[in-house]
Amino acid sequence: MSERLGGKLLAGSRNLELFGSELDRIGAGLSRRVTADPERLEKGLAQLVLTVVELLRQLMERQAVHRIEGGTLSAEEVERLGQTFMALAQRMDELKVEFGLEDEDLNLNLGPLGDLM
Amino acid sequence: MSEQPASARYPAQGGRRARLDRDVTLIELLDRLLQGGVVIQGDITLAAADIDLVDVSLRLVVGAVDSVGRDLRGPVRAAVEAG
Amino acid sequence: MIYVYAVTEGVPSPAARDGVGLAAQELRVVAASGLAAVVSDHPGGLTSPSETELWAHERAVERLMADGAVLPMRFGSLLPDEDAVRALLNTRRAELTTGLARVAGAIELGVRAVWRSDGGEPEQAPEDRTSGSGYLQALVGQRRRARALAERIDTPLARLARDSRHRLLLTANLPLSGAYLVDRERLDAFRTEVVALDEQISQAEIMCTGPWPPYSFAAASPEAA
Repeated sequence: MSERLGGKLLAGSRNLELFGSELDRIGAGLSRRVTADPERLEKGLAQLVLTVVELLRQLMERQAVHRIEGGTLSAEEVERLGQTFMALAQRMDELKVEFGLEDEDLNLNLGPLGDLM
Repeated sequence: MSEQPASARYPAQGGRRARLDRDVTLIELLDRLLQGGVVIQGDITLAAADIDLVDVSLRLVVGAVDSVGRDLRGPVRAAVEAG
Repeated sequence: MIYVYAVTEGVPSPAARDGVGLAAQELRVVAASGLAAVVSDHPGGLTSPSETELWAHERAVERLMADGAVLPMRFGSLLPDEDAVRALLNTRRAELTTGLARVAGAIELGVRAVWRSDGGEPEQAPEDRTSGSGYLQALVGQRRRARALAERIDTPLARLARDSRHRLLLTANLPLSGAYLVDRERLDAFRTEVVALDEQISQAEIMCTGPWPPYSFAAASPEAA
C-alpha cells in the first residue's frame, strides 16, 4: 500500500466529472464535520431543523417504496401517500428557497443508516 | 495500476483533472474515516458539537420511525398540515 | 488526550510504526491483552481537523498495514489517558481479535456507479409529479433500476472478495456505493473486473478506489457500526 502514495483512483477516471458532482452532494455533509471554516459551518437553526425534516421525509418515502414493493399498500393508499409526499416535497422545496439552503446543506449522510432497505 | 499522479496521466487537462481526482479521493477518504473504523465510546471532540448532537438525536428518531413504521400517513400528514 | 489510529495484533515493527501522525506527533504503542493500540499524545487536545490531519491518520494506518492485520479507528478517536487505552483493549479484546482475523491479509476497495445521462437510460433525477401514484411509482422504478445495476456489478465482484457492503441510491444518480474486502493478491484481478464491467455496462460509469485500510469492515456488520 505504501508504494501508492498519491492517487487512490484505480478505475473510472474517464468520466470523473459525473462522479464529482454526485459525490459533492454527499461530501458536503461529511466535509462540514471536519472543516473549521466558519463560512462552511451550519447556517443556523433552519438548517438543523430542515435537515431533520428532510431525513424523515426520505426515510418515510423509502419505507413507502418498500411497502409498495412488498405489495402491502392498496392502489388508493399509494395514491394518497404519494399525494402527501408530493406536498411534503413541495413544501421542502419552498422552505429551502426561503432559507437559502441547497440539498448539500441538508445532507447528513448518516452512513449505515443511509440505506435502511 | 498507474503510479503517476492524475495530472501526469492527463497532461492536456492537468490542473482540472488533478483537482477532480483529488476531490473524489477526498470524499472517499472522508466517507471511510468519518463513518467507518472502530468506534471508541470516548470523547470524540473533533466534530462541531451541534452536528454531533443532531447525529445522535437522529439515530433515536430513526429508531422510533422504524418501530412505529406501520401507519405512515398520520405523521406525514401532520407534518404537512403543521408546516 | 491520546489519539488512537488503529489496533494491531501484537506490537507493530519499528518500521511500520515509524513516523508521525496528527499534529506531527510521534506514534507509539500501548499494549494489553495481546493487542496493540497505535497512538499519539496530545496533551493540549487537538485543534480543528483538516484535510492534512485526515491524511496524517490515513498514512499512519497505511504504514501499519505493511506488517499484518490492522483494524483502523474512526477518525477522531480520543481517549483521556493510557489507562483508558488499555481498558479499551482489555474490555473489547474478543471483538477486536475477531475483527483482526476478519481483515487479515485483505484491503478495502471502493466501488461506485453513476448513471450516464447519455447511456440510453432515462434521466434518473426528474420525478413524476402528475399523481400520487406516479410520484411513488417513479421512486419504485428508480430503486428497481438501482438494485438491478447493483446486482449486475456485484455478482462478479463478490466472487473476488471476502465480504462487501452496499448502499443504494445515496443520490438519485448514484445507484450503487459499495465497499469490498479483497485479499491483497486479488487486487489486480478485482480492478480488471471493474474496468471490464465499466466497458460492458453502457448505462453507467463505474469507479474503483483503493487500496484502503478496512474501515468499512471494522465492525462485524453494518448495524453494529
